Amino acid sequence: MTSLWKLEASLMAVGTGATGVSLFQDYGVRTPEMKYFIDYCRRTPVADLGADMAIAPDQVYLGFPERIAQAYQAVLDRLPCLDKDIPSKEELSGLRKIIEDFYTVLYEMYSTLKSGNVRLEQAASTIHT
Amino acid sequence: MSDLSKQPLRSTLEHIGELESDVSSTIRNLARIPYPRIRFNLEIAGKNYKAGLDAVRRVLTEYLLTRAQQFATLPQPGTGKTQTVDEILRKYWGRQLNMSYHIAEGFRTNFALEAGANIPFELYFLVFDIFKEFNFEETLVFRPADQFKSETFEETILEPLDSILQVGKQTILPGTLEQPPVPRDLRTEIQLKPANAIWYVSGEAHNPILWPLIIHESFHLLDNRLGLFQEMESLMGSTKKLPVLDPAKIEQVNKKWSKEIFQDIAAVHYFGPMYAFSLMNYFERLPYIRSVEHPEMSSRLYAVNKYLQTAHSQHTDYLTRALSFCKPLITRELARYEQSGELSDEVKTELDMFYDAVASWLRSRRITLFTDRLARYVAQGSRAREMVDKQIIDRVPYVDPIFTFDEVVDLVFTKKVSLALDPTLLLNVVLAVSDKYTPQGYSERLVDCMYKCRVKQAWDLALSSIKA
Repeated sequence: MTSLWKLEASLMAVGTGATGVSLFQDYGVRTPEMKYFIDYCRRTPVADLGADMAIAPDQVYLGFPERIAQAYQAVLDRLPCLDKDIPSKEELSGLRKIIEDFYTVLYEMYSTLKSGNVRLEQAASTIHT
Repeated sequence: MSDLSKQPLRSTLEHIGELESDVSSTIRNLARIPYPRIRFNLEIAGKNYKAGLDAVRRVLTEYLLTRAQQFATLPQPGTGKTQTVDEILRKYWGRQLNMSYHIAEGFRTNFALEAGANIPFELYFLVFDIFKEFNFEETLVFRPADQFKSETFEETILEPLDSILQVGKQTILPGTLEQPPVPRDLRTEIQLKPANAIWYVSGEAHNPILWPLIIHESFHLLDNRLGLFQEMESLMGSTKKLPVLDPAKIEQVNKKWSKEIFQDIAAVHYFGPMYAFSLMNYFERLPYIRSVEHPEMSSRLYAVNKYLQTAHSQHTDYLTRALSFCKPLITRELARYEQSGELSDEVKTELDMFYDAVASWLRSRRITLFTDRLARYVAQGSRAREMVDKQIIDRVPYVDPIFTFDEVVDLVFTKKVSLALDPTLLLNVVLAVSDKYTPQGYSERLVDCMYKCRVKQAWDLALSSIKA
């Protein structure tokens, strides 16, 4: 079952990444926020993001686990640009956008769970099948 | 409206203060709870949440605000313009501010739910009994929710804040801002007492059929704290390995599934055969889907069915009667999985070996299992005649004779007697007649039985202290 605390921790970590990349983009400084996020991505497998769900068919739940896995992979693919001394503006703005997209899908899942939609949708799926 | 540019975060900080007051008020209202031990546990939980709210406040003031103030002094390259603290907070740390609010609200909500939980208090003691077997004395609270789960308070309170707390203590990289925002490790300053929550399905709080699932969560919790699974794994030695239920999945996933089955095997040994019925019943009520954390239902039922196939006891007819009720149900269910190909011979072989390893570990732990409790019941009950003969019956509250399965059913359901029978023995009897007597309709009587058993245990304990 999904753990809210895991999702909260993931949201805070990804939010920290968005902060770090934005500050790098706007001020040109490599902050502890950015360093933390790079380390976080290197040590955190997708299974530990808190997005696994065992309570209903994926199609009812907007495919959150797959969407989150894809969004995370997109971040991982682009993250190496931060290893460069001076990443290009395009690289940084691209990375910033996909981190924000990643945050958005995590937040969407978090809000769905918190609002109780899961239970309502589950009830609906039980009735219709 | 407050002037945010002069006092950034004031409204948020004020709200956190309100949440702290709410938690304090809930702690004061715990006096209505008649059980001191449960009250004390909830008080500790409340204090942990207060510590959590204080941590959120410090994250906001000592980390976010300080960081924003640092950047407010810096001109942006290119434009040379500076931004206000509010602009910086909103633009760069808006997400963390938003989540901090949710997390703080969550602390207050959790505690309100735990303090007002609708689960019978007697079920706390079902868990305390298991804790006692492992000499485990940490705090426990029940949290009404929409699923069964266990969670430590470090997970509930500290983990969501971890990234911020870690960033706060990091040393600054060369060529960046010189001054660390929070030079000390804030995480070590947050004083949480070791505590744990077991989530239960709120709408099922008075459904005795699902009460045994609390045993499963108790083992999860103990495993989390005491490393029971790892202990069992090390006993397996190098010749045996954990089951690979799906070779297509990575080792980590298969290991998580093994842990889940480990809790099931421990739970059925501890609670007794009707755990299997409870598990199957829950799967029927809640559509079950395999996930990273949970293996196929067929694997779980196959593992608990191994217990049903091998368990034996000559003490009373409780075990045989319970088995005769639930074995055919589980066997039918497993036959369906076999026919559909969901439960393969390879998986069964893996589970057979694993079951033996877990059962062997349980024996080595010397905890009181269901069959041990049956033996103890018979030993105690056989003293009933002796008590009357020696005319010392007035000095002890009561010693019941040994009741047969049918006598327990008759007393509890027909004669409306609240028997002071061990809760696990009682539930293994009453759930095994749930086709005739809907347990949900008798939950109050069952709770009363559990209450009387606690009173009897307290008397026994007092008497043994006097003798000593």
